[in-house]
Amino acid sequence: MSGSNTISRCPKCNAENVLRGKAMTTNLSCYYCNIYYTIGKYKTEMVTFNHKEEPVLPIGLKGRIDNVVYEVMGFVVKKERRYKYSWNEYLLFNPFHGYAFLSTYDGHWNFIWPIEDTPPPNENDFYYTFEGTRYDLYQKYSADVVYAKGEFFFDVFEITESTANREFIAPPFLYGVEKSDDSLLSFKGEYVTRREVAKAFDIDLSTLPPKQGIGYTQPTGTSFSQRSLVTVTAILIGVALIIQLFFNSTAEEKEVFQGRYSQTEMNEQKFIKTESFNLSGGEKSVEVDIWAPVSNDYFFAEFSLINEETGAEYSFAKEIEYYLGYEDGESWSEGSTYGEAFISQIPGGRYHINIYPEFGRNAHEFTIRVIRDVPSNMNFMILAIALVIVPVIFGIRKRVVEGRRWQDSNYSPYDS
Amino acid sequence: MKLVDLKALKYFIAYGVMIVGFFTYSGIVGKKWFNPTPTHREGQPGTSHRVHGTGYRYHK
Repeated sequence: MSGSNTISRCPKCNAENVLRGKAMTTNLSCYYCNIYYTIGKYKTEMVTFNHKEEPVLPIGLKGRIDNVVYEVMGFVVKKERRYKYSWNEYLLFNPFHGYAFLSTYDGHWNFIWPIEDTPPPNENDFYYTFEGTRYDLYQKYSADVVYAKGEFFFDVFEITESTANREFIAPPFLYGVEKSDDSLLSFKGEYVTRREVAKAFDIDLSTLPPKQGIGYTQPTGTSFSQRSLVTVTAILIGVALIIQLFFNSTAEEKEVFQGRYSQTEMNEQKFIKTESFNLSGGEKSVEVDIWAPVSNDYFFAEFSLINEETGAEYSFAKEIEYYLGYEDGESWSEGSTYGEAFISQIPGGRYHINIYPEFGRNAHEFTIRVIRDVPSNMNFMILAIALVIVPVIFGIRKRVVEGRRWQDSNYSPYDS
Repeated sequence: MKLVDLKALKYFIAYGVMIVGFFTYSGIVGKKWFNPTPTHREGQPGTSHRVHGTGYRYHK
């Protein structure tokens, strides 16, 4: 071995490299000529790089992650063998907590640490349950190191070249397995934002590569499950349904007035005043049903429901038309001889209705019926839509976001 | 369903409770949210506006 526990002499340029990892460092790239070598090995083991890249977290930089101060020991650029995409990994070290990694791809960062005593997933498993959480297989890959800088506690070339990797995700977490012929390493990772990385290492956010797309462990902005959202929605709709059924079963639906009128009774009057009737209780609905025996004709009327005690008026209009015929061998009809008007929130009291009818050519009479406290299912339908629309939008958004997350995976559950 | 999910869903739950509350109030007073029968109200306490352009003739 050239050098001592804290100094390693470069076998190429003969410069002395002061080792940050002291005796733990087994491999390094020379701080002066940048060749990568294994301490104590011969010159034939030296590696020079065609690729060169400066780490955005310089070697020796210290940062605090999860209240542990780590020092950046090494930097590696890896390239996947099949699809040729590359990513960067930083080796971090703390004398008490050991080593960990920061991995970055397309501006997305994961803090990764080794875990022990965990039974690995089987070779063909598409998901893995770890600490009660299901992790789905995202990728299987093998990679090569195309660039290394700094110090390492293992030969990154040898380890990277000889291992088959599998990564399972449960955003924001990942679970990885690196398997070689004679070793198996499991690790867990968690997504960290660019801002958190910049803050941890006290560097300017703009020095970090910009984020592109959705990271494979990036949280999607919601911290609840779709199942919970659907459950809460179902409970709310269920409660509303019970209330609606209660309203339907307790509604009075009481006929408080019925009258039949003809044009001949009006003489020179322009309107008809009905007899007075009582509407009981507090504010409740009123339904006015109108029948007119129209045939290829119409009937139109303006109505004014008048509270005889307060003078309050509730005015509305209704048109009834019914047309029918025989054309091209087929009978047809449109419209109806019946119409109804629903009036909301009518206080109790004594009322009458002034009716201003406009008769058509044939029909010269009409009938009205006034019903107090008529329930309506329309509100429930609107409520159900207003509630269901939230999980629907959430589901669509989730599918779009998750589809983008999984688009680079060969194991996407969103491929149709 | 986990408690943490309920906490995360607090705004949706508040939205839902508000809608169900208004739905209940509407059911009690007989209010239809989208009433196909436009109704003009006049002469009630606190409302003195008149709707212009209508052909209504009031004869109390």
